[in-house]
Amino acid sequence: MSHLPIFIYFELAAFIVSILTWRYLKGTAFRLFPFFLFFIVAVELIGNYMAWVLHQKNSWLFNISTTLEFVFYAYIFSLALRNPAFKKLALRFMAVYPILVLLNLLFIQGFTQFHSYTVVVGNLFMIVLCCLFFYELLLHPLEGELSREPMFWIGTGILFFHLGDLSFDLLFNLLKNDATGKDFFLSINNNLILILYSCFIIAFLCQRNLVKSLSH
Amino acid sequence: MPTESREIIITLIAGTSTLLLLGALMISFLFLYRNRHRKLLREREQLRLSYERELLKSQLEIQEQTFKHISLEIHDNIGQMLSLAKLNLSTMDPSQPTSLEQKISDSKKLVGQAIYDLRNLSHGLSTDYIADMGLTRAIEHELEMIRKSGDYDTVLDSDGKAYPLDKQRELIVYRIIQETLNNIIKHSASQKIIIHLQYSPEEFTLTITDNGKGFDLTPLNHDTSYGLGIKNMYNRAKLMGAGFQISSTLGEGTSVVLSVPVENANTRT
Repeated sequence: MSHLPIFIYFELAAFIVSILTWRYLKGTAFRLFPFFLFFIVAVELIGNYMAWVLHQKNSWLFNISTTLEFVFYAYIFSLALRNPAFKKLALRFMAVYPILVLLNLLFIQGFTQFHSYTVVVGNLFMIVLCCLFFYELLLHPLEGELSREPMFWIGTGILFFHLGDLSFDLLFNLLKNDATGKDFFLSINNNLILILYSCFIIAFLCQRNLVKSLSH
Repeated sequence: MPTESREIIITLIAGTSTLLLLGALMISFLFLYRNRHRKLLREREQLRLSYERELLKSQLEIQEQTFKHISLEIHDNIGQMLSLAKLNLSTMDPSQPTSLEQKISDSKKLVGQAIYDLRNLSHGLSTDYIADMGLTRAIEHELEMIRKSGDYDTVLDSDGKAYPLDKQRELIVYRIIQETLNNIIKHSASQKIIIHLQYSPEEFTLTITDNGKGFDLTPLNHDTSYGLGIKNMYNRAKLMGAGFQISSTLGEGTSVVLSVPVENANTRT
């Protein structure tokens, strides 16, 4: 536990900012973020503890957390998207994805393995939802500046993280036994996590500014 | 590092970089598009504001023109008639019944005419009189006033089935007509003014022609002060999406053509 990776501090920072800006988030689509980020931070700390202190496999924990992550992001998009068909797509994904993961763990990859196949599916879906969201931003441009729009930052973070992760997830089975490749990926992945949670922090601050400017 | 491992890393780098680049391109495109869209909205808003400004200016100018006309009419016409009626009344002599009867009859006629002229003038006082009368009637009224001066012969004719322009555009068209007629009266030394209205499904075309001395159009393109009125008319036409052309031949006369596209013209708001 003495060598916590830097991205955990970013996750923790995002959680703290979400708590500090809670009064501006609570009436919006982002109201569940503090709970979600608390869960993420807890999972990362427990996962690290299991791996580095107890020397136990922690795949089952990350199988649960990544599944919840995808469902949570889909929920955020279901609230942000305007087109009913797009909304329905996000909601259907929320319902179907956990079943897919369960089927994968039961019949294909097993509970002790990381569910890389369904992670690829989840990644692809997140990219599709991001593209749909940006497409809607093109169709119905908002009044204010894009860089002040909280959901734009959430979408940007999710898009970059999942685009960056996709190659690794596709090559997961090859990299599994390749220490150099795995380390290399982890360095990419850690940086992507920094981008993701930095975007979340910016989004929360934008939301605070947005609510403040509206109330003046 | 084994070759296989190196290949995997290269694939990973290539794949990740390509995908991240795609993401960056997508976001940049979104930013560019948004900036252009905002610029377009700003320009449209500016155009709308200048259109409204011009509209207001046109209304004020029409009002000013109307007041000028009313003042002249009261001073030169109605005032004269009432003065004459008063003179008749003050010089009546009951001892001369024939002359008395004639003077009473003349005074009645003069007061009647004054009442009629005052009634006509009161129509012009309403700010919405162009909207109430319609463009054709307003032009007829304008030409009638010019004709009454006795110096001009005026003609108004039209082709095609008349349709209304929207209220705001009618006001601008009317103001352009007034300005053109003013210019004709001030500078052209003509005897005849012809206004032709052409209603076609594609556009509404207004042509004002005079048979005056004409003028050289060249300075219009160089000297801004020379053609300020004309440039005003041109800008107003442009703001409502209409075409505005002047052609003039020295010694033969001048012609002004205003063409309002029908998609801009035939909706009354």
